[in-house]
Amino acid sequence: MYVAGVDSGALTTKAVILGDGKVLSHEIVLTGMGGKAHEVVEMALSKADLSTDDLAFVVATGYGRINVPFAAKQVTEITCHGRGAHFLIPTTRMIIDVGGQDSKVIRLNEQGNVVDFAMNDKCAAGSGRFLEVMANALEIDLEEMGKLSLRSKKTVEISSTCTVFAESEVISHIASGIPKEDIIAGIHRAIASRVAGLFFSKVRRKVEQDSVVMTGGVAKNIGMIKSLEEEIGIRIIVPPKPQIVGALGAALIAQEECFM
Amino acid sequence: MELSIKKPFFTPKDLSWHERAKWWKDKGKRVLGYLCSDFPEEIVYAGGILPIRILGSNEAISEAYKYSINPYSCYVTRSILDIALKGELSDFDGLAITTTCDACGLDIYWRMEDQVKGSFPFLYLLPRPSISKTESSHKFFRVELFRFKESLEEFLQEEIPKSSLAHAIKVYNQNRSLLREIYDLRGEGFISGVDAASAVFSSMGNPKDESNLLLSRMIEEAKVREPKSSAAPRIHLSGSVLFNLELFELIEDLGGTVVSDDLCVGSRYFWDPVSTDRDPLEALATRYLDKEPACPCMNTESKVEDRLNFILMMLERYKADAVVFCLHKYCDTHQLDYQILAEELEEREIPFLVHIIEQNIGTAQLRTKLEALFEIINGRG
Ligand code: SF4
Ligand code: SF4
Repeated sequence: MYVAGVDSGALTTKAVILGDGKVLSHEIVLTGMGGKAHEVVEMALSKADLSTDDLAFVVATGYGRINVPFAAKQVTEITCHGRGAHFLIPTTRMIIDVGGQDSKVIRLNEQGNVVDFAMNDKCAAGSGRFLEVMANALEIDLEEMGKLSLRSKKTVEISSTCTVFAESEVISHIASGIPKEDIIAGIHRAIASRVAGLFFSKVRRKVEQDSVVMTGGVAKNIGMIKSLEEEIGIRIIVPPKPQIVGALGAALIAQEECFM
Repeated sequence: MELSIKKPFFTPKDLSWHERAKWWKDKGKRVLGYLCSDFPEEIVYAGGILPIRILGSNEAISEAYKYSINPYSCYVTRSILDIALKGELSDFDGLAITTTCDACGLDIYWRMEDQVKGSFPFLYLLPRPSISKTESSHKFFRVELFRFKESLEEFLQEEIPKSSLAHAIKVYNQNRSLLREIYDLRGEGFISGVDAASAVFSSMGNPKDESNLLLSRMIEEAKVREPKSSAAPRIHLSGSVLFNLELFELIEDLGGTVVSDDLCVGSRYFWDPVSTDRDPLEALATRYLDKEPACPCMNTESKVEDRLNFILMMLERYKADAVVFCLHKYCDTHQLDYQILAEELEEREIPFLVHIIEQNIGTAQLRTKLEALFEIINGRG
């Protein structure tokens, strides 16, 4: 039996195909660049030598979840990230999901069910989009930011929360000759401190080792992880493909639906 | 104009403030606006004046910023000032303001006095102590209510007899018990969350005796209906003022239902009755200070504990699954209480979420948050 989960995000659309509880294939496409949900699912299907007819159930998640007509069910990204992270790392109790335009903190119980969550829903400052704007200002690749920042000797202070103001700050730092790596480290710290605020708003008891997992595209940025670990004072586990955790969770729910 | 429950008075789309006031004034009577659910309307009603709650609205502010109003006051305050500065309350004979939080109490009063003066022949600031449940605060407030009554009498050039006060209390208590009955019927599925909320909203602007007739009819009609039995997530709403029914509707759209609340446009307005076995002003002073759920601007030691107990009581009474806090940006009194309430709910493993609103409720993000909450309740989380 085959099922699919599709995560229609602000920046990228992701699809995961499951067959008998195992991940058969996945696909990630920029939403703005032909990343239509059904195409992404078809791409993932063809990687697994399957076609849409083989799918028993499809669950859609993410911002665009209501615009995925072929999905039989829509589930929020909060529940899907919870399900996906717990499947990959059963010790997960707290998830930090930093996506394209927002960040979320999700708390799970031992069974992997979501019990609480918080979302920065008013401003995109602590998100992937913020990093993207800064990468542009620095004229570097988004992917390079993480590695570059590790070379930093002196993290620069970015004091503005607002993306536009922070961008001018970055530009003036460049103009005054501050090394790029120090500026990037500052950018990471700025995001990390915002996300940490969200994180601690949902932490009441002691956080156990190996219980904090980061998902979403920004989790691929090693410098960001390092900064966040410093802010929250605990090691963060990153699954191998952090961007597809939501789609995976959707696929896992699709699978449960078939057995219901 | 026809009175109705379905067409409350809070947005210009429904009924303008002018229309509202004019309809009553055409009968040769007067209209007084008030701002807070902690205002003893009974005294005004006893004087033959129609008290109308001015809630503010989520219309964009167009006038108030020209008067350098504080952009860091909650939107309730800013929009009330805007409504007044736009001249929309020009048909009102009076405005009464209770001292509550500084934004809604003092600041509005001063600005009304300074900038909107002339539009209100009768403008009154009613000092309410921020301590309740003590003898001295009751005494103090009783004196203030007496002074308010005197000023009103002077304005009316007419005495407000004790018997009128007692009658007003009776009519208002009837309204309160009808609204409770409507809440109970909603709890059992006879009335929708949206309809029960309209009943409260309309009660804040319709003349109480006529409002009571409408509510009684609503109850009769509801009782013969088939109750809706549904497994929908049952929500308790917590917060202060909501400008309209949007949030109730959104929750229903998403498959949930509002079954209970501690809102200033809900149970905080009507839950506790006024006692009828003592001097009316004394009874009013006690009721408006000690009532549950209390206003978070009160500083009584047990305030948050009382608020928590009220919420827990309502959750049980109406079998609510979760609490949704909908708080105004820049409203520190509610937000400070929230921190404590949230911890207590978490301790009891009661699901909840908080959403901060400003001009609008911010539907897109709130939708995802509510859906996630419903998934938690339905066990999908
Ligand atoms: S929160 Fe307090 S001051 Fe504000 S409307 Fe409600 S009762 Fe009045
Ligand atoms: S919402 Fe808060 S800040 Fe605004 S008037 Fe009411 S108590 Fe004051």
